[in-house]
Amino acid sequence: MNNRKTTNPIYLLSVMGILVSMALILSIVESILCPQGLLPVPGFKLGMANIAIVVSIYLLGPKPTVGIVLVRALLLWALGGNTIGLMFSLAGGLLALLSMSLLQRLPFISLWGVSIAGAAAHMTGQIVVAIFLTGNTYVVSYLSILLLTSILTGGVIAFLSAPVINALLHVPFVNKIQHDIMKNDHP
Amino acid sequence: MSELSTKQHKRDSNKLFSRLRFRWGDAVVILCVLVAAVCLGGMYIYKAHQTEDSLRVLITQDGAVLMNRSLSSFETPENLTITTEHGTLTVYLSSSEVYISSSDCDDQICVHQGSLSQAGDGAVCLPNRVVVEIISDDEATEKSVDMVAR
Amino acid sequence: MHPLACFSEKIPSKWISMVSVVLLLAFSFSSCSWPIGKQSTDTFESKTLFAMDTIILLEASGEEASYALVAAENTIRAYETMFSRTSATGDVAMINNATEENPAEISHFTYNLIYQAMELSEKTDGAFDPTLGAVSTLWGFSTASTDESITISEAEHSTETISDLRVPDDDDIAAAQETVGIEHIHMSANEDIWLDPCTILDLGGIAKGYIADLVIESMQNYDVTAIMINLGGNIRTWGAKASGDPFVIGIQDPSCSDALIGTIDLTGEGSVITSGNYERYFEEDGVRYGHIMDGETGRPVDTDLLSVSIINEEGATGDALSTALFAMGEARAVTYALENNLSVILVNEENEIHITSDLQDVFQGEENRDVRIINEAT
Repeated sequence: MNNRKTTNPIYLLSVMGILVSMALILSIVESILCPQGLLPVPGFKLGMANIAIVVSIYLLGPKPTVGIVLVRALLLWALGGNTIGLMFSLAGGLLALLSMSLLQRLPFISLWGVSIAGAAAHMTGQIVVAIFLTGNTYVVSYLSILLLTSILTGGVIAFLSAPVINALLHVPFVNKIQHDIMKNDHP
Repeated sequence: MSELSTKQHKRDSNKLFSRLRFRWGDAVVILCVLVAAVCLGGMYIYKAHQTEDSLRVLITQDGAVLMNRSLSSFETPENLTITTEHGTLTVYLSSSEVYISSSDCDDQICVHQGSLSQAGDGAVCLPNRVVVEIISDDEATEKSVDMVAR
Repeated sequence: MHPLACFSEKIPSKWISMVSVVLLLAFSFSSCSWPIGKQSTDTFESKTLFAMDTIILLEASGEEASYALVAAENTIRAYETMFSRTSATGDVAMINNATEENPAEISHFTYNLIYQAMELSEKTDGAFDPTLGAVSTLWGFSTASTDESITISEAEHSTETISDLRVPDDDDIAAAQETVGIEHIHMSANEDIWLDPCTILDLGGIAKGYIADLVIESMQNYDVTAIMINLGGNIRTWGAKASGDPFVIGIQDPSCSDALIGTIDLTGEGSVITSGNYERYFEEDGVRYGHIMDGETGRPVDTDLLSVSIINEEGATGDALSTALFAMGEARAVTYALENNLSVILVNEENEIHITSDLQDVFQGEENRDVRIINEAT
């Protein structure tokens, strides 16, 4: 706690800023490379923006990451005007965040497990929203395929996030933030 | 670059590299997700088979019937493109499910309404005034009607 | 320290980053091209469009089905204008504005259609009549509410078009009725046409059937094995399904919009056209006024039939005949059908279904519906 107070909050803000922009850009790139609706399952996404979320969890911990998820969802909404997308994004993102932060603490789960769980939780969150929207539970049947793909996408995200975490940690002030926040650093 | 930061870098790389090492917990996570996927998939297949024979898909535009066919008539899946004064949308029809696969309407709610496979399921594209419903046919005849003269 | 330097110096192996970039791109592009859910294995391709004020559903199967569907749409758009009363540039509009001094030069297709219409009008003793335009307009059934194309010669008549559905005065009815009759259509030697003043040509009772035939024809330039089209309720088929099963065509119940009276099996080239007042009508003071007009009275036909379906091989005749038989009423329609060997399904005011004997094997009535065969004794 004390260490957090001695760190200049500007550093934290800068890192968060970097991560939010990363999340935003990844979302946009993903929507350009791969428009929705290609697979006959609603909600199928690569989830490239999760790279930023995963990185954020490992660098900053869960609490600042909440902010990043919220800000990214709101910014995308402001840019694209897609309200339904906002709901899906928030539900999926927050649920993913929750599960990833819980699993990250466990020493017997590595980045792979965290990321896959995050992807699975993200899909689940979106399906839950879809159930509310459609008023019937038939979308649950989609969850089956989405969960299978989330194993794959989660793995890819993990693989891509590791070098990003590594790279960011070589930036001195990022490193400092990480050390300050993640007091109980674990391998 | 002092040797302190070099050591620190080494420590960090090792730590992070080790982040990517598989641990037993990862296998558990993957297994859980797999099991969940299989369970949900199994449920879905079971339900779909149960009610396949007596279901029909009813597609109307502005109240006029465009299609009223038994689901089992779609042995090979078909795509129906509907063009109205307000836009275009495509419906995917197969013997197990029907859904609106794409639409050029602004809200895209119809596309997100997902798969219809049980009696009472429906998807609506309001801008195009298209309604896609699954209805049960109690007097389910063997025949399905290709088109309706009116 | 330059961030890029740390990226290249300190990452354990450069190729991890390269591999990840390649993987990322490969993954993105490959999932973009997954064809799951797309049309690769369809037997029937479908298309719907909105034209001629109604919904049109086209289905075709075969190697070049999608091209055939495009051709079909083009055909519909082209002829829609030509035969429409309400289009300012169509042939029919030109005819309606033509005079003896200034006859309309029209396309061969239009000429054929009008010729066929006149023949059928004569054959049915006026039960089908292409010159009912003035009467339809009077009662408000014209689809042109503000279109100038049905402006009648300014010298003698008002330029107002009536868009509201309403019961007109007897005098107006009488006046409109006088303009009806194929004797008011004049053709010159080189296929130019003009009409007597105030007579308005309305091909609504035959155009859709004719266009359906033209559509089938246009689709046959492509490699297709089966065609089914539904032009606002007029069904036209061609070819055969891969399974060998017949085309199953449902017939709408005139009394119940969600139900059918039965189905009919068509094989090969066929047409099912149903006429009735159950879709276009208005009610005033509890009386229902339908859109099918009687040339002799200038009013909607007074008939004891709810719907007439003609099954034959081509659409133009089917369309005109179904309208004619509907107008004739049950007794006259039955006589005409028997005399001319038509395949007919009638639904009368009592919701009874009567069919000609040749349809016995192919028509299947809905459960609980009584189907009677028309024979000489009826």
